Amino acid sequence: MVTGSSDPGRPVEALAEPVSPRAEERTFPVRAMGDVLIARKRAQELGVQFGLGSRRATELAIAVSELATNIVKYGIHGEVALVLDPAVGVRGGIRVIARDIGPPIRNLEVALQDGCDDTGPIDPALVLRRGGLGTGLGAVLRFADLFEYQQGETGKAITVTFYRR
Amino acid sequence: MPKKENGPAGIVEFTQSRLEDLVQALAYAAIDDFEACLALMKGTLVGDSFATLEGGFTDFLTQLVGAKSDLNDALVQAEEANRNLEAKLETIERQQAAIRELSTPIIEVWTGVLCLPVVGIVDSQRSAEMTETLLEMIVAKQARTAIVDITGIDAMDTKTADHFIKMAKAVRLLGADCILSGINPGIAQTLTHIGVDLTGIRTLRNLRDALQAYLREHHAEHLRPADRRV
Amino acid sequence: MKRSTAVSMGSGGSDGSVGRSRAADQNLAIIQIRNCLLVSIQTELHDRLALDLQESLMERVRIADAIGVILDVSAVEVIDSYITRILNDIGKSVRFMGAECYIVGIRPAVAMTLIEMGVELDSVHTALNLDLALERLELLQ
Repeated sequence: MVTGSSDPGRPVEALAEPVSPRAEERTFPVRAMGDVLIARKRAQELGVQFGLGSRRATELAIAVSELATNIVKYGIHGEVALVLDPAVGVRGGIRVIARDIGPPIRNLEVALQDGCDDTGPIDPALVLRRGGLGTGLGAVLRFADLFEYQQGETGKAITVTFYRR
Repeated sequence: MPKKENGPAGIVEFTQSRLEDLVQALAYAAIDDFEACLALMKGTLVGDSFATLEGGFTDFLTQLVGAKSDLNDALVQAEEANRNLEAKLETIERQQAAIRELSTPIIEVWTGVLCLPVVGIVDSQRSAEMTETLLEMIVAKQARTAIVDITGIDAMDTKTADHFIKMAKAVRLLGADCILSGINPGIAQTLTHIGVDLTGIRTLRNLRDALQAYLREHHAEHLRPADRRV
Repeated sequence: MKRSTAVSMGSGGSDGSVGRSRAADQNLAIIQIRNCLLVSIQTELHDRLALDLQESLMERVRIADAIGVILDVSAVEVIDSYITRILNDIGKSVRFMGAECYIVGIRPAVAMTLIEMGVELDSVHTALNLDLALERLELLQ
């Protein structure tokens, strides 16, 4: 499920669902690859703590890793917030909000396709030169239960939700 | 508090109250109430020899207050420094754990046999880096066999799993053998789901099986020359 | 290289008016090692050059009664589907003459690209290096 919105006037901080009072939030600043490593490790730990199960927690960690890596590569700098909310969905869930101050994703549909970034297909030879597989957002979409994209004048935010099953 | 004029030198205008005041001041000092203590002592203006004691006591107290205040400041600073240090240590620990996961070491277990144990979280960037490193090492070491052990992986995106298969195929294209070990049920499900073709790629349950299989098949190569029956 | 005997330049030109084939002009030397032929591909293999090479190889295999042809592509940075077809064609024609073709020295980036493209190098074998290719070729005897 993908929702996109492009409203320059709307602040990027607005979330689709309200945060309940019993929710806990952990925010990780993201500037460099070291921050990506910290965020994804913590995401995996928090996922297990929150009761997602080992495999699902790893999927959460991979999603966080992909989103945070994109911040480092394209978003200049930003942050990843993990909101552990028992009131989300039926049995609660974890929301990942990846915000950055970088330019908006030009072509979301294209960027979501595997093997592509937002300008189009990636040359297979460049995959080996540390460009990544071009499957980052695709992986996020495959793992998460909900995917939302917002962009504003100050930057953009991708919010994905992992329900506790 | 009685104020006395300067009497002849050596003669102390000693009153009970001066002594009581001094004792009282000491009592205040004992409970760390230095304000009250010094306030009490400030009232003394007589220049006799007892006043010397009172003056000395006041000086001593003032210095003590100063020293205590400095100590307190130093303590506060030290506490803050300590907290900072602890936070940094925690970050370093987490980063080290992350680095251990990130830097997948490629081990040459025997001449020409590379082993790539993959642990932790594998995202698209990491799998691309691992592939590059493995392929380059195969060329550099002219390794004839690569064993990729994914026992340590809980979950993998379908495209990443596909990429591992492509990695194995690329290894074979270079002219080396590739063995995949440690495929857990979850990953097996993912591989089936994407309908992957595993021909030419050996898959074994764990690293030990993979190493044993290699040893069995290449037994003769590792014998000492004298033992070889050629 | 462990063993080498004769070193000879590519000859047997495809059109009789020129003494040496284009393959030789482009410095595609065909070196004979015992009963195998080795070619080191340094330049782009296009059109005429590829055909020349194919013909030269077939002729040399016949003359030398070679059991194998080894193509060293370690200097090749890009192998696209067109080159793949050329390599497969060389493999097939060499096989037709009773020999097998080995490709050695494929670069990692090239290997990845080939896999991504899904092209199959099905008429040739691959090996890590010259020695291994020679070993395998001898085993095939």
